[in-house]
Amino acid sequence: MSLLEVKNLTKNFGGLAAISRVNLKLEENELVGLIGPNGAGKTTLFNLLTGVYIPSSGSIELKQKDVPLSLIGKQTSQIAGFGIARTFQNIRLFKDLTVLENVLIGLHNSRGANTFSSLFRTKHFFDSEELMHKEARELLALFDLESKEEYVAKNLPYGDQRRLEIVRALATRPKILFLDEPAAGMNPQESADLTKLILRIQNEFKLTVVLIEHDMSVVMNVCERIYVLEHGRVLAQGTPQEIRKNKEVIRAYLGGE
Amino acid sequence: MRILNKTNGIWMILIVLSFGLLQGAILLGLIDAFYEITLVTILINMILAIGLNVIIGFSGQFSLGHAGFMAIGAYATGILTKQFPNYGGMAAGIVVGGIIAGIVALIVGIPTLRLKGDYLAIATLGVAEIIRIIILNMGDLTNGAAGLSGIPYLSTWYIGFFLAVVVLIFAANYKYSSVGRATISVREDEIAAESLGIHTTRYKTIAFVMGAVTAAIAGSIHATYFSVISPDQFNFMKSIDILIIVVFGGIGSLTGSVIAATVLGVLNVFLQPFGSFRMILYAIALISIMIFKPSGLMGTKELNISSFIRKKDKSENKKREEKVR
Repeated sequence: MSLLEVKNLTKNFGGLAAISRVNLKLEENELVGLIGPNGAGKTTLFNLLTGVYIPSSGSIELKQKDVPLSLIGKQTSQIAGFGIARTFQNIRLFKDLTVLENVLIGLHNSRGANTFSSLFRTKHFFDSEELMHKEARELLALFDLESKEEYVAKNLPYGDQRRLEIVRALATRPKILFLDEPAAGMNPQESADLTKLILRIQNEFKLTVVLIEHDMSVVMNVCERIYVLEHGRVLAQGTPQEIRKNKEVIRAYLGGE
Repeated sequence: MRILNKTNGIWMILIVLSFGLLQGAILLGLIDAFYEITLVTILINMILAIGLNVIIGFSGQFSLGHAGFMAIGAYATGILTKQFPNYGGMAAGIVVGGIIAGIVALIVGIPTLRLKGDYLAIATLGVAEIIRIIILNMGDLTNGAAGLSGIPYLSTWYIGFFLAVVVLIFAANYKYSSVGRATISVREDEIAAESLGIHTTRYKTIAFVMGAVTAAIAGSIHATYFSVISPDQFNFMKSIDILIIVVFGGIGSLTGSVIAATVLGVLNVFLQPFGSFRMILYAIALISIMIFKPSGLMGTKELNISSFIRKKDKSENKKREEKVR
């Protein structure tokens, strides 16, 4: 089976179907784009897949050791524990904490010492702190943020904040990484750098990346497959070449009969 | 031993030094029996404020029922030491009071801390009142509105000082650990914390229970130092008093709470001669803090000794480098 399989997913907000009967499949180690006009339901879909919203109907199944595991009704923190990480459209860093602390918090779930050994400062505590600091610094070094580890997150330049959020998500050792408009507010040079970064993440961490993006240069350059969403439905899916030529997609974006 | 680093060593020296200063002042008669009461009150308030700061400052949850948990500790210890008027009884009182307070905090916390928002404030407001009313109506065990009197004078300022240091160390251990960071991340951004796999309810509850237990410890000292306790000592205004210390010192700053408890306690003594005019001056002090430093004396920062060391090291290194040149 696929890594993540979504069947007939529907979410109604009152009378509005924000997402209706969406089918989606994610394979291991692929890079998938999710595009669509504003209000198409892209972020809502992310929120459903990460457990922020509870679906009205449909199923979401994640492959766990070759057995499908339903994610319906699971809490966000549990889903994160299963290996699904995300970033947010409007950056949600821990603003008043340092860069290093942000990454350490990402590592807490898998590496953190428990409350007892923290309070009594057992050997286990010191070992786990050492390990966490080492891993966090390694991650920061991969993204050229190691020299800024003492900076308070809110004082970082915008591009660095975006990158730090990705690093923090990677610290949870995810199998799937959802990126919600990572290139928003970036200039062409920064977008180009981001494109390289995303490809590097996919290769080095061997994970599946799902990307919501309006910047077509990013989407068309990196994505192997693209899903197009409109009014909560999947309008089209396919390779970037197919999507470019798809009449329905052109109509949704540019208008027409 | 990794515990014995430079920072901890300096803290240890500071603590011993302040103990020595206080002891010296008492031996020299600078702190007489009356001022010793102030000293113990400050120490009790310190423990209460540190505990409340763990709840408000670390997990970002608002608790208005701290006096209720203090009452649990005070009554548990009061009742037990009247039966067993020795230090064993007092230790048992601290343990029993802490456990009951912890259980009550769990019962209140688990349902309310699942919600996002300030529901804990309303729940704790009610719980503190419930605790007070239960104590009022427990008959001979708590002696109703008249309260317990004749509790053996077991506490000294030594015990208060010792327990304040212990509570401070545990709170600092909590803050500077992975669970502490996870708890602080809940305060910073609950949704982001969830997305990183942090079980937010669990960490909010841990912080809340820790705060409740420390409040019970403070209550135990209160009962065995003052010998008389009554339900109206643990009313809503007491909770607000503790809250004021936390806000004054800086929400999230442990050293801020320590400083604020001391400053406000000393201020109270100095304002004593002014009679009821005192409350106005007290209020002016608080208002000016809110105007000139809205985040409290220390903000979220701590009195950071390690950064002093680092700065010193750096300047020494510079000097060395210059010499080499």
